[in-house]
Amino acid sequence: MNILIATGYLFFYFSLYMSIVLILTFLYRKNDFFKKNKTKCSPSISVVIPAYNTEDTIESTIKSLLKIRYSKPIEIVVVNDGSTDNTAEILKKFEKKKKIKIITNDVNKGKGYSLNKALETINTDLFVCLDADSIVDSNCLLKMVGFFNDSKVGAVTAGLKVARKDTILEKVQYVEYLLNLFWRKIMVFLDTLTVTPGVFSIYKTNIIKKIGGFDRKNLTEDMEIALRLHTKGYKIENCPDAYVKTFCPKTFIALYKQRVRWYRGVIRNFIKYKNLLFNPRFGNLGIFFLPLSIIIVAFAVLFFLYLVINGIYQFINLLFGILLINFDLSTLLNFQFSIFSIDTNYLLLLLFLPFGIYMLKLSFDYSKEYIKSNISASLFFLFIFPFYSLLFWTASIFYEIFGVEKKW
Amino acid sequence: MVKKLDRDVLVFALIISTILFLSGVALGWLLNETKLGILEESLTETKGDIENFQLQILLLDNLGKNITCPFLEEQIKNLDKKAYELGSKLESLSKENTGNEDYIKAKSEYSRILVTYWSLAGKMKNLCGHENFVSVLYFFSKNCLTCDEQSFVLTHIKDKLNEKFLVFTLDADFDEPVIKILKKYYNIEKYPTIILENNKLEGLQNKNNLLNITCKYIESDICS
Repeated sequence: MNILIATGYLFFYFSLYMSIVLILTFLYRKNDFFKKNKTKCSPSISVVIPAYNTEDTIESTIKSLLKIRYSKPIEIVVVNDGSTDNTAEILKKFEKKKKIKIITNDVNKGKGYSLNKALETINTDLFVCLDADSIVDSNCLLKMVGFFNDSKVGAVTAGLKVARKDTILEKVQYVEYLLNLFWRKIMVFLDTLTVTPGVFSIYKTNIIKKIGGFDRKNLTEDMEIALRLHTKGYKIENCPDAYVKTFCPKTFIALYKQRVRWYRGVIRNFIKYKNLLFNPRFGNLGIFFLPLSIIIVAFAVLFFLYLVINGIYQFINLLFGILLINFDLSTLLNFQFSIFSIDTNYLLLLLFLPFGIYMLKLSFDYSKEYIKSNISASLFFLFIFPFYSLLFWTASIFYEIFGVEKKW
Repeated sequence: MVKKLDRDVLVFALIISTILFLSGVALGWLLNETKLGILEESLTETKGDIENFQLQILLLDNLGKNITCPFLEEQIKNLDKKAYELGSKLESLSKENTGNEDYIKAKSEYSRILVTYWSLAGKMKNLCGHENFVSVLYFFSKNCLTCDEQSFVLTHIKDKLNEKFLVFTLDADFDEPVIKILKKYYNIEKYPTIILENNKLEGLQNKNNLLNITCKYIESDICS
């Protein structure tokens, strides 16, 4: 066994350990999964939508927001962040009907800047950050606001699903989002949730103002604010059945750009908040979740690199071999499967399969979706997600090491 | 007040993950042992066939060509199939068993069987005047950059010509006296090197080169 196969084994062991800790936590707390409090009073709420070139989706986002149920009127603030498409014209239609308030950035300044600019104009008790490519369930606010009864709660996140699943890539993301929906609640049980997604996260306005607003230069300001809330001693809650749907990247290139931005943001924020690592003051986040996540990603990327380099080498060998036999492929189909065809080095990885299927089943059940009608999506996920996720992680680490610039 | 994981959860998870992990490792080990067991059985069986083949060649002097040679021809087909499969099995186990004593022992045994088989095939060819196969001694090394491609080309021709193309693959790095003798005899210094009948071919050979020489010795559709 060479050192790289050993790396794969370590990746597998740590991933297994982390997954089992999360599953045991779930089994211990599953009765609390959908538990929520009734709000004592109805706090005033603003919704902030940062929008940059979102002519395709902004209308449906605002329309879904206008249907939302709440005991008080909600204020909608859209920040047009230097859009160069038709976004401004669409927003004007809603402004004329006095449905929304518009703030305009002359040039694109980024999401963190836009949120802070809106925050300056907001005086409500709570505010919601909503990406301009989302569709909100009308009961979201009613389900989520009760979590703020606890004065230490700084933010509440929703249950994210994908709005469209036409292509294979969208199907894979559909399953990935369900898995995240499930994991996030377990992470809340452990107080280790490190992201308040831009898709409908509610914040306590005075807390966010007190801790200095959003980091406008951060690639993933939603992760940075979550980590900052942790360091300041605030809690982040999650309401898994407050459903918000978001439009996911349709093409591989779009997905690549999105994920590389996310993962580079994760790397930068882990470095920015390195003082959390192994720090018992931050509980499970400092002593368990962050260190183990870093170890798992590091081993996974090393193993992935080994597989890719080895795969490319084998492929080049095969091509060269085919050239040497004058492209006569007739004998290549002579392969016969036997016990000797199984590489025992990779056998261990097969144990992931039943484990992965069990996790998927739980995710579907607790997201109130049907796995039986999404078998193909689940299979695509099991075989495509590990590959693209590791590819994007590897690219992100590469970009960060070589200092390739990235803007929002 | 931040939450801390219950120590019981951490310990319990550690036990379960270790058990699952070790089960996977044990399953891999068990599979490898099963493969080595099958390999050993095949070696014993092929060794028996080689002894039988050797005996039939000895009988040639007493019983004459007409009676013995047809049996030998049949025997060589059977042996070729078994030796080829044995080689493939051994090759598939090589990466997982570097340094494994049982594997090294099996490989050593295989090398001896192969060289005996090669030697007997040559003898049979001379005695019976059998002209319908070629012997290919193929020397490879783990440090050789083009040996994978050479193996690919040889496998391809073998799949086309079957028992007409007898390939004897020898690991030149392997510490086995019979291999050392052959290396010295043929003055093998570069890899890959192929001894196709009496032709010494150094460096990577493509399908055309090998077929041009092979077709001088045998008749086959592929040669036309």
